[in-house]
Amino acid sequence: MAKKESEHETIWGGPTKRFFVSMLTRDIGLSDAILDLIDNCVDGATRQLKGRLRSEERPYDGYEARLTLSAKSFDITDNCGGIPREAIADAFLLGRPKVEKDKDLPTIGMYGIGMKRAIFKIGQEAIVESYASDGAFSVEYDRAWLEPENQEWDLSIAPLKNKKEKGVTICVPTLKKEISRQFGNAAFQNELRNKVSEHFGYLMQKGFSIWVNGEKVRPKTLQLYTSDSPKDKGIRPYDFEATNNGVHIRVTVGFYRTLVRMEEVDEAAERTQEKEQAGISVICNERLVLENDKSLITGWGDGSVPKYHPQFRGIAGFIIFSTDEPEKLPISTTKRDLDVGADVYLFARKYCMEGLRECTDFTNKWKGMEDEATQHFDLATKRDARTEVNFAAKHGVPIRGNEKAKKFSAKLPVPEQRNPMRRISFTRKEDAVRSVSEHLFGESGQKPSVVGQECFDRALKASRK
Amino acid sequence: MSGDNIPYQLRPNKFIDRQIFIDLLTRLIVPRGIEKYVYVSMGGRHLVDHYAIYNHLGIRSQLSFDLDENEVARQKFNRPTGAAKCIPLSSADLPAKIDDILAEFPGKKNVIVWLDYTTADRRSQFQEVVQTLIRLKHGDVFRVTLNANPQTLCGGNEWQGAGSAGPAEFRAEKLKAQIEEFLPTDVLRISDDGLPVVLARSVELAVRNAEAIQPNLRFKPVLVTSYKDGARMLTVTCTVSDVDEGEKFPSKSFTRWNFASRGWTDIQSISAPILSSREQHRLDKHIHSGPKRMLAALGFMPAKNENASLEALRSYSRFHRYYPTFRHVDD
Repeated sequence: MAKKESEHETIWGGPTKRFFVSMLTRDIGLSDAILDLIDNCVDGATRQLKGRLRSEERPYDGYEARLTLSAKSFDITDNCGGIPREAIADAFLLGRPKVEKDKDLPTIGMYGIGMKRAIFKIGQEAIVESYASDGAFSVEYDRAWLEPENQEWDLSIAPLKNKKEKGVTICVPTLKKEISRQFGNAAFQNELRNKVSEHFGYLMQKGFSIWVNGEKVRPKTLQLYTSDSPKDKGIRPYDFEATNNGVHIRVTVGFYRTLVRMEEVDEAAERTQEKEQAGISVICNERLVLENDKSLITGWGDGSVPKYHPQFRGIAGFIIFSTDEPEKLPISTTKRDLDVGADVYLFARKYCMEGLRECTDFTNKWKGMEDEATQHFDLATKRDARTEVNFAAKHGVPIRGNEKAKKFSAKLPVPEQRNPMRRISFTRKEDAVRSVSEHLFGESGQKPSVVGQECFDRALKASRK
Repeated sequence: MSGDNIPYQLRPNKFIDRQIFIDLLTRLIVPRGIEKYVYVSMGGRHLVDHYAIYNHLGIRSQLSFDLDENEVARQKFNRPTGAAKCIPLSSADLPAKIDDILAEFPGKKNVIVWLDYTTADRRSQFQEVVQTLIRLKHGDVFRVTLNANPQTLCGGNEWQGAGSAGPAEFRAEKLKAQIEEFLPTDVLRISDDGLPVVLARSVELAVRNAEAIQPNLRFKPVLVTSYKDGARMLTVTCTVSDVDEGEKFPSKSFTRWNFASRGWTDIQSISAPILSSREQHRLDKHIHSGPKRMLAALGFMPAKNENASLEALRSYSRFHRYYPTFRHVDD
């Protein structure tokens, strides 16, 4: 609406309620919105732990978030300290007013939108209760406030009797209709648990507990084949760590399964037998931001790294960013997307590509000799890549120009080169293969690969006579 | 071994399973009108299911499929009526073809689909289940048979090399790697005989996935069975209804049926022994006397020990009216 003000006109340039309560919510999936709420719980615990995070192995022990969801309602309760008095005003603003908040803390929330956006996405009304050491209160989002047409922005806040256990509870007593259907669906609940176990797996390793409808979620973390001695030739991950502009970076790339046989590659073209775990994951301040990527984003198909192909299905790894200055993390507002152009990300990606190069090269060299390669895998054991692999720190070589960077090349075993294996591959019509099978084995149903191999072996024997 | 190559004479439990299915269909679809239905299943080379469906229910509109053209030729040779169609098709392609199949049978509105898997390629099978379910309509019947043999998840001492706590934990880990999105997250171990229940719960999750994609559809378990002739198998049958349809399907009276499932894991275990005709006659005389007296009447153990024999006789007693009477044609 135009308005005359002294000599020149102005128009209202502020936000509308509709933008927040019904537009912004479309930028995020339902599961991701819930993960945002858990992120807030974790950030609360991180604030409580100030100073103890780096020194303890499981600093988050005792901290937890409990989620209860059904077709009727949703609530999340944590014991992560609550919202202190001085933070109340900012906590309910739509957007963060100043960047200094959480200075020197490895939190992930930095835009001040996660909790509100999740509430807007899920409910028709909601109550936020906080019990902090300096006071307890509740804030209500009622149906009228959440109306897109309503331009009233004030929220009602009321004091509460404080409790011994300090934390925040968000209760959504009435769900939106489409959300109710999903929350009531057992498949959605199961999938949510799987997402939580992947997304917060590394955090749970550090002691944080998450419960969904009374079931404790188990962490899912990357396990890689690792041989004991870092000096001998053996299967072990490439490992790199550095500090770049206040961000600690760890890159680990290796094998989570044995090499894929060509028959499996052929099968995979038609149907997959296992959930794909290959690829590179990106973790920012303990949260999974990108899962099992097999694209240019993490360096596949760039430079000397080949494009992802099912033969590389055994290769997996991660890039981990940790910092006390969350605005330096390469993530977008949804916290589930990477900012792939960020300098710190491009720096880490370079080393991820080195790891990928070593592993793809190893796969190519052993192509057709997967059984022989398996013998090397048999000598290694699967270990938790995050907590039990620390080759770069212990045995890594320094990187020129970066004092705080160390790299450990995997030095994977190479096959005997004097008489290398060569792969023979060709196709023939089915009736021809059946005829030859009948001729060689007395039955027509042998596998084409067996028939082809027998042909070659007989011809070889004849040639050496 | 999946059991698909064992002669039918030695597969009384699969036979019983099929007969209960026919009984189920009689209750479910006869009241709705069999003329509405097309029966679709892989069928196997002899189309035994198709014969049973035709003989007992009179459904002539049938389709069988197989990937192998030679098997299809054999199916064509064996088809129960000229109206049956046998086509080369992969189960992965079936979901997209359901409408085409119905179009091949003018005037038909519903399908009975049976995905009778024998192998343990579970990931693709569960994906096919979801893809099939989301294409079904009110009044359809869906049935899936899955390999529930625990050996498919842990053969011998495999678990030791993988560093698992035990075979039960290893089975759970392996199944999670195969079908993570369909496996309930609280399954952390699978005991020697626990796989059928776990797979039944996984089928329920697959069904919920389908309901999330097609919010109007409701899938209700109507018969869940597990039998073992060669390998242990699990079969889940469910009805398809649409919330916008006025008709209640299955009807209210259906729950009075002896074998009506009360939930996805309400499994009817079929483990009848292989009996000669003489043994069968003796048992039938004592069928209402309880397994102990039946065992005494036999004077020998029909299974490996007393407990297994009593269990087998209990199963026989429950399902005896479906028990096959295979005899040589010259007898």
